[in-house]
Amino acid sequence: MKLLSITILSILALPSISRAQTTWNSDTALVLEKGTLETGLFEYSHFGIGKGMEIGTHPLMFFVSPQVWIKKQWKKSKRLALSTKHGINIPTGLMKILSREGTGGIYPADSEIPIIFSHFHEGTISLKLPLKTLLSLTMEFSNSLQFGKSSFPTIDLPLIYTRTSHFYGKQVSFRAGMDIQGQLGKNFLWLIDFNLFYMPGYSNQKTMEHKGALRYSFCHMKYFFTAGYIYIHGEYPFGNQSHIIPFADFGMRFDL
Amino acid sequence: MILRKLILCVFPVFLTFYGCDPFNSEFGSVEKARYYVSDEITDTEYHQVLRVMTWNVKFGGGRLDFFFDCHGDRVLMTSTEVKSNLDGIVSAVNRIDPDVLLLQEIDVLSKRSAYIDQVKYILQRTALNYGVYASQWKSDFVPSDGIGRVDSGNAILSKYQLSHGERIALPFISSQDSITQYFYLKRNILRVLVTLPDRIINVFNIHTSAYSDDGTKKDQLDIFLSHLLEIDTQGEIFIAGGDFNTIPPGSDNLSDFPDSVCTNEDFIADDYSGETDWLDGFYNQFIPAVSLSDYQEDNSSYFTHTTDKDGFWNRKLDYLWTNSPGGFKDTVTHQNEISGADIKTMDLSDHAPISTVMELNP
Repeated sequence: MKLLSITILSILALPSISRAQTTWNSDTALVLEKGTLETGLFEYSHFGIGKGMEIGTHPLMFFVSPQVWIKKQWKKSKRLALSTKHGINIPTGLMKILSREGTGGIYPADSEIPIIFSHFHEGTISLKLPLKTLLSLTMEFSNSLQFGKSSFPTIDLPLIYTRTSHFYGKQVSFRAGMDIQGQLGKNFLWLIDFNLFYMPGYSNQKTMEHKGALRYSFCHMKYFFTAGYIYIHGEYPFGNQSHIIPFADFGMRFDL
Repeated sequence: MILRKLILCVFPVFLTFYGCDPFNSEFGSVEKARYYVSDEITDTEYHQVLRVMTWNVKFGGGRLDFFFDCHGDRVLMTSTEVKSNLDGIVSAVNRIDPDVLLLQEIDVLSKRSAYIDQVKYILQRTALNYGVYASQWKSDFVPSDGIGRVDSGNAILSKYQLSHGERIALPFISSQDSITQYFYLKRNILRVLVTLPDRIINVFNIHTSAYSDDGTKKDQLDIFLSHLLEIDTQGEIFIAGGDFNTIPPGSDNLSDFPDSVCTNEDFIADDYSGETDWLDGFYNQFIPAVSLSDYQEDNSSYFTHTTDKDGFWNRKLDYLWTNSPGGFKDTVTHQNEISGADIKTMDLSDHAPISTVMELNP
């Protein structure tokens, strides 16, 4: 009851989220304003195209594993925002490159890689909380369609196993995510998120990921360093295992 | 404010404690071995005699042609294939019925062998009760040839209780770059004490480098010899064996073996012409299961290795030694069903097992 009361009071106290450009908007219902490009060394690049929409891709991976997504913000008010994101990915080229003898052989050379048409769809709702905090909840569905002979093993590594799980078994996977972020002073943002993955058709079908990160922005928030960790506890074909993986990135945001 | 302090304090800790060994591939110079106990302990009658066996079981790969043999391109096996091959190995072990079994190339958690714990598999299906294991190749992910996760190594199984199991690291191949070395095999000596009803004996198991031309294999053998000499000097009894990856002095053929089809330098291991005296120290100091005179009289009866499933054993790489004054008797190199115990070993691994009997003086 106490929790419910706090939640209701928090929602009632929500300030405007219209000035949300200082947030991480990758896993929120927020979208970049028209003409704004945000990119990083390793992160996906995304670009605001107006009318509450943004598009994104990964510039380094695009030529071997073409991926593109579009995010549409359907509702935006002082208290909440609602968006959906839809993407496609054709990883066949990358997988064929990685199917080789010797160093870099992630898949065995005798693997048969089909044409894989992967698509995902997610819906996100973001709520502005007191203390400059933003809460986002996401549900995602992924599926792959495959054409041609298919014989390739799973990649039993954290992060990759879950994100490629819809290439195997029943070729579907689900994700439920919660993302909380807020400001620390003028230049710092903090982020904590939790994701639960469910891969039906596997005996090893559940994984939990948690991320904690800090972002330091400078030069009028145009550039930023991000560093953090990802904790993963997953079920793999060899059993359960936990990992903590550090990460860092440098990014920038331009108004084109 | 508290949250802010918490984040700023915890953050560097996470960043610093992870990262030196991201794929869990490294070992200390001496580490404890991993212990196994069979679910069902089989009673053993002890008559001051031990039957000892050594076998490189090729991770339950049987005679599938793997890429490193250069006879085929297989990398991964199905669970059915692995279990079928392991059942053949189990059957052979049960026929020979060793009291102490030295295993090389045994997988416990490898993608290539469908993540079947082969030490446990053999232990549960034989009269052997206890085991120790030391990884020789361990990585959460090997980004080469599609190998993926691997945990493979040496094991010692016994009907008698084991203690003080330890993994003693051996030198790496010095000519490899640091990244290759990080993901590569890390050779070691597995040592354990076997508690017999009337005494304790040392058992050593080794699998030295196969593909090295920088003297690493010689260094590994010399270190092994020094450990055995130390035990001998202390007046303790040992059994030592394994896959030495070199041939005995007096071998007729030193190179150009008929099964060598590799052209990739990384997998060529068929020229022993510079290694003819590398085992002299062992033969001079200790008692072999197969005497040098017997071997030199007829090399081929004691051959234990070939990569060609359609050929026949063409070199001896596997050995057993002891410093026990009684030595060994009734040694058999199980080359086929005729040589002993009616076992078709050619189908089970690229190595033939050796079994022998060790008489312990009262």
